[in-house]
Amino acid sequence: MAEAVRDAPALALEPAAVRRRLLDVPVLLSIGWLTLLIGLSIVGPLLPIPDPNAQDLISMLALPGQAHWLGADSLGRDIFARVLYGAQVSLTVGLGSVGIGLLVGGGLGMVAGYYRGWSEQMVMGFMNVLLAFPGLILAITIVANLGGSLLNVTLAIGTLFVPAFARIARANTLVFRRREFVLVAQALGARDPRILLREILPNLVGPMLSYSLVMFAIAVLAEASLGFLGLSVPPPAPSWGSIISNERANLDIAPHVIFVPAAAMFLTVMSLNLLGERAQRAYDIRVPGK
Amino acid sequence: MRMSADAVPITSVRQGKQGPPDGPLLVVEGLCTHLKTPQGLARVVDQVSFSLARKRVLAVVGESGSGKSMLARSIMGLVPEPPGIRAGGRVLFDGKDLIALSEREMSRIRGRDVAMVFQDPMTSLNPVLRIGEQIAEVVRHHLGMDRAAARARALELLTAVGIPMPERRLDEYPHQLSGGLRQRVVIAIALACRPRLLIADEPTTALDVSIQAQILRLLKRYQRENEMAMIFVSHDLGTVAGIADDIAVMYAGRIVEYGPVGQVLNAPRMPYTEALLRSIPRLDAPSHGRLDAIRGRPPLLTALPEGCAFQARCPYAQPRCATERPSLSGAPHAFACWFPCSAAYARESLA
Amino acid sequence: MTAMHAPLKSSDDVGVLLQVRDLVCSYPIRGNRSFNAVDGISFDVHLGETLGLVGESGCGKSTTGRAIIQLPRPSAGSVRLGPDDLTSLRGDALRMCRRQLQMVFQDPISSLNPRRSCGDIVAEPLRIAGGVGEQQIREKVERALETVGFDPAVVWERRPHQFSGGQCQRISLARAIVGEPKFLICDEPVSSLDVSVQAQILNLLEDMKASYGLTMIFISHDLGVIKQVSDRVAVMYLGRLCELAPADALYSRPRHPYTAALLACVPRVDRPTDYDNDATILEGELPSPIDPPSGCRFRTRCPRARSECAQAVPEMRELAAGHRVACHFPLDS
Repeated sequence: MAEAVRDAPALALEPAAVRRRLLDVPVLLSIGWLTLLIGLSIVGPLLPIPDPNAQDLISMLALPGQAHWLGADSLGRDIFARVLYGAQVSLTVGLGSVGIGLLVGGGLGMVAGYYRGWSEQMVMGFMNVLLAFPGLILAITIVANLGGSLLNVTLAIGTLFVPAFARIARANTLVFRRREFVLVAQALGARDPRILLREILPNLVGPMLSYSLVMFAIAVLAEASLGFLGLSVPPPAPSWGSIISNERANLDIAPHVIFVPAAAMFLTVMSLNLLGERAQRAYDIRVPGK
Repeated sequence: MRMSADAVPITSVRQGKQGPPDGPLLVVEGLCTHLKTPQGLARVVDQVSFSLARKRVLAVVGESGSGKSMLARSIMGLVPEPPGIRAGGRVLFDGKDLIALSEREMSRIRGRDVAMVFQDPMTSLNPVLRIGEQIAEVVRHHLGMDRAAARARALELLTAVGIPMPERRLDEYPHQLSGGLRQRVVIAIALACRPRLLIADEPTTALDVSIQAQILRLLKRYQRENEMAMIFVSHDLGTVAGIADDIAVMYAGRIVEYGPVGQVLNAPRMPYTEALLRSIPRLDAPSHGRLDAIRGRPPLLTALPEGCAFQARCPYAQPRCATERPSLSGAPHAFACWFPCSAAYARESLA
Repeated sequence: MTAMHAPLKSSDDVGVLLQVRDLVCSYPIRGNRSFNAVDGISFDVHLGETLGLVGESGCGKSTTGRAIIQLPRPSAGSVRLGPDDLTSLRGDALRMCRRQLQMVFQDPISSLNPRRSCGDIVAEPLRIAGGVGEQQIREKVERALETVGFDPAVVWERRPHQFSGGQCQRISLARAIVGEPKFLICDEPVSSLDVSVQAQILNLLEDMKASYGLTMIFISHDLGVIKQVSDRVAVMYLGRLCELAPADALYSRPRHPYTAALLACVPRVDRPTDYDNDATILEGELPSPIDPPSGCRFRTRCPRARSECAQAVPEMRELAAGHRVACHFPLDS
């Protein structure tokens, strides 16, 4: 038998200190905000808040107060309720479009990067064509033709995301497929699907996760832009962009009406971006370095 | 194509202002370099002291994590701060303390009086600049030569380091050269201003054995003809046996044995050196023999033990070794051990 | 067990496990051309022996190792493992054969998937092969981990980045032997390790070879390491075999000028090279593999080269028992 080399306990590369560094105040605040937003969007309809579409012309442009916690808009509708329901839209679109990007784009990119050859040429060629369209215009075209609805907006933005995710997935796959552990798996007789699933995919999770968070933020902004142009969910359903668009005219008299959805959007996008960047850093720490 | 090694003599010794001609060229006193790591403070260079006379070659050997590369960089002032910390000591080059110099003053010395050659020739050279430009840049910066003179000097250097068809190589890019030729270019850049001290950090490790021999011969010849001192950092005891005058063995950031290379390698006193010599496979040993492997692993530099750092792996360790740290003592053959190997025992056990 | 293992006799009456014939590995380069990284080599590996494959960069030794496991497939030639010709097998048949043939690589970190745990990595060959229950897998993996010197309970859940280079190489070795293969190819397994760790791993390989009855090809550029582990040694230069002989004979009486030059260049502690006066240092650079010299590829650096060397490719000839050389004017002739 081998000599009794009982190695010393392995290096502890993930002490509490490292974790503490990752979970600092900005990260905790971001997680807090997003949790609050998601929580409220889910339980919102069950809460005793006013109907977002109920008009109350007496309280037109009311300031925040007893009856309307964050004020009312030009038709007397409760802003808190409208922003909350608008959050549902933003989060759904964000999740859906990132999901489409990950599954379709990420999947195609991984396959293209692994097999190379003509499949790579075809997939990336198609992606280049998609990327050649000006993003927002493509989204507008899709929604305008299919009609404004939550599903169509999600599809439109998701389509925009597919090439971006495909590129990232392919680039990372190219890096990992040259590593020797993939060669070892092939030498062991593993079939390609197994290698893709068990060797390549786990290594893609890190980069794709941080990218997804950033793209989520972009999705929220894109939906707001479409909403601003009246191309998101059809009125009277609220969307952050459409609220801002509707109340544009009252900016000097009642800025709070625009401020609330804008602030919500700002906080959401910034939280997502911050978490995305930190996720990237956290992943890098765990990857074997020098 | 065969290149004759003695075809081109390397030009004469540099004249210039030097310190007292009989004093040592480099004196390192108590040099300490620390590194901030997530696990704590690592003492990568811990109270290292030695002196180097002109025209002598000192080999610094050790395994990875011994601190030999960090020592070389600390002397050159090339330790990135953060995470590195200069924690004390002096480096006297011709009487001047390099640690005390400002970055500006230090950059005037680097490349001119003290030059460094690194391990990987691929990354030492800028891939987007031509070879000629990279060599000329050094002489233009330090010696103020104009373009034509710099180009001529570059050509002279390429010829001196034994590169075939040097006129053509001047205009080529690094990727067009083989590893051995690239390393020669790196050496040419280092020798461009005729430095008085050359620090070579594993210069031949990445090269084939036959090319290694050529490069070592080149370095040795240049060192002899130009009375240049050299610090040769390596993990390969065989290489240093041929090229060095003195040897310093490092372990866990400290020098544990120091002396003339013949003495240290033939009659090591420090058990670590002896164990290292024993664990190298020998060309004349029969196949399938058992190597005398050193058990265990080097200590973490963030958690160095109280006594001797090698104690946990030492076959001769006694209780004293765990509590008291031995200091480097003895001359000319110094070692840091309470129970050193006896000379006679060492000779017979290595035979 | 610390006794020396008796060197295996390499006479022809011991069975041949691996037969490589006229192996050619061709790579395309720009301009519709191609070059042969391996240019027609043939050798046998006998049951239970270790064949050392040594040479400098560009000689094709790593390519040979990968061609034997068919990743990628050689452009020409045959590789027979026992009765099967690996070059003609496809799909499932090839997969079945692969289980007998394992490979260990140079870079310990890159050989392990950073996102999987140690136990998972070592169990993978058994999972791919299938037909073994979970409990049995667990037992085999534990045995493999213990063989390489780990305590399974401690290391099972750890990820590769928590191990040192030498430890990672042990994990690779555990993975290589867990399926009890017949043949192991080691491609520079200790080259990126420190000398002291190298010694540990080499001792481990010897023990594993004895207890699992492995036949090995050991690829390295380090002549000392090759001498330590090999029964017979093959020297390669620019894609061709120069010399193939039992280790002792090759090291003490090399017949090919390249082998002799290589041995003379190795830096040795016991016989330090005198760089100022040594005339045996090999001159010149390695010729380009894309446009190699005609005839004998070593002739541009060979001190004994004559005009015949440029005209005809030297064939491998048996000069003494088991000692084959490809040279028109071998040493001591």
